[in-house]
Amino acid sequence: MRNPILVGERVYIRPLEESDAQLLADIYAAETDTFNERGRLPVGPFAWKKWIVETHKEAYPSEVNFAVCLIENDQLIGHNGIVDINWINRTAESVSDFGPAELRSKGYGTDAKHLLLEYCFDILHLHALRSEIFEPNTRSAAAVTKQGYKLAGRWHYEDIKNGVMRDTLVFDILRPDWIAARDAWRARERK
Amino acid sequence: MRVVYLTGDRIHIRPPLEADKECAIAWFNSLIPANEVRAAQSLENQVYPYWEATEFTFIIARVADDAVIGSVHLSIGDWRVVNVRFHMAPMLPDADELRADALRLIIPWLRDEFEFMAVRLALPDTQTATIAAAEKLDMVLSVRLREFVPVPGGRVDELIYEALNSRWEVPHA
Repeated sequence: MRNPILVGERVYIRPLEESDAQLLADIYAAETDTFNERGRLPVGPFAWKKWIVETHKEAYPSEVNFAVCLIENDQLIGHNGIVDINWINRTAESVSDFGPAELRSKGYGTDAKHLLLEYCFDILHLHALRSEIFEPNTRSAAAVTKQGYKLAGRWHYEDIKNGVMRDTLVFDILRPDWIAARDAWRARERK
Repeated sequence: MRVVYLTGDRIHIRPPLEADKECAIAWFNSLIPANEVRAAQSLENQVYPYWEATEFTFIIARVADDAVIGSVHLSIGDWRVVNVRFHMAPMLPDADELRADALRLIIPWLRDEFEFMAVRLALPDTQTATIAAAEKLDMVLSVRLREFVPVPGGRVDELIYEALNSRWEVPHA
């Protein structure tokens, strides 16, 4: 494993490096789903590299992001992190992005999310997190519910999809929610 | 300076003035104190070019004596949705009521004149006068984030109210 911060059942998280930029660009270029946002947007390696460099400059940044890698072969399969960190209120928004498509729905995202939540609650000692998911993205909404998040409400009229205005669903999670969901998930994984 | 359409009985809302840097604690929305230099930088950054700006801070002042008592910050997403945040001067005994007054000026301006699709307001669930004003303005409680706001001795929920503009005729799923 390369520079791991936390290690899960099948994936680990590590800092994003400039050398990840091309891999992230390739993952985005191969995106097959159209429901995550209004539409797919190709993001090139220059943009990824700049993002990686900029978000590692500050001691107390507004966002912290991780590379998610497979333990078995160190393959980068996506990234997750927290944005809009409020260091005074101890809150943030969690985000995740995974690909390639053939690696989805195999539990890697949940494995990685529990590592991210461990980092947030037990290392940074954040108190509460939220997650915002565009309503058409039912797969992600189901995933965060399984990971312990609770539906908190919705932003109305967030964006357009198929000619109609769609909302963004807002979820929140506290440490006890995460512990309960993680323990249940681990029990299922180890059966 | 008075903005005629943003003036009520007790408070009025106006653009920042250079002299406002001298009372930044009253309007600068940060727990980390802002001195005059930081406040002045903040004012300069938001005034030009105003036609490209998507972040605006306006000053809330008392009608009776023009004393600065707070601010309202607007964060605009592609001119369809606007997020509103208030900051009131510390030690105001009637901050909640004055904030409610400001909301009564802001919502008709943004929802009915600017015709934003949604005007969003985040506030802790302890600000009961502002919440009552929001509900009277037909704002709906759209999100409740549990324990998102620290208060002395604990934490409270953050509520997000939305003023939804019924004049928009786009289909909503």
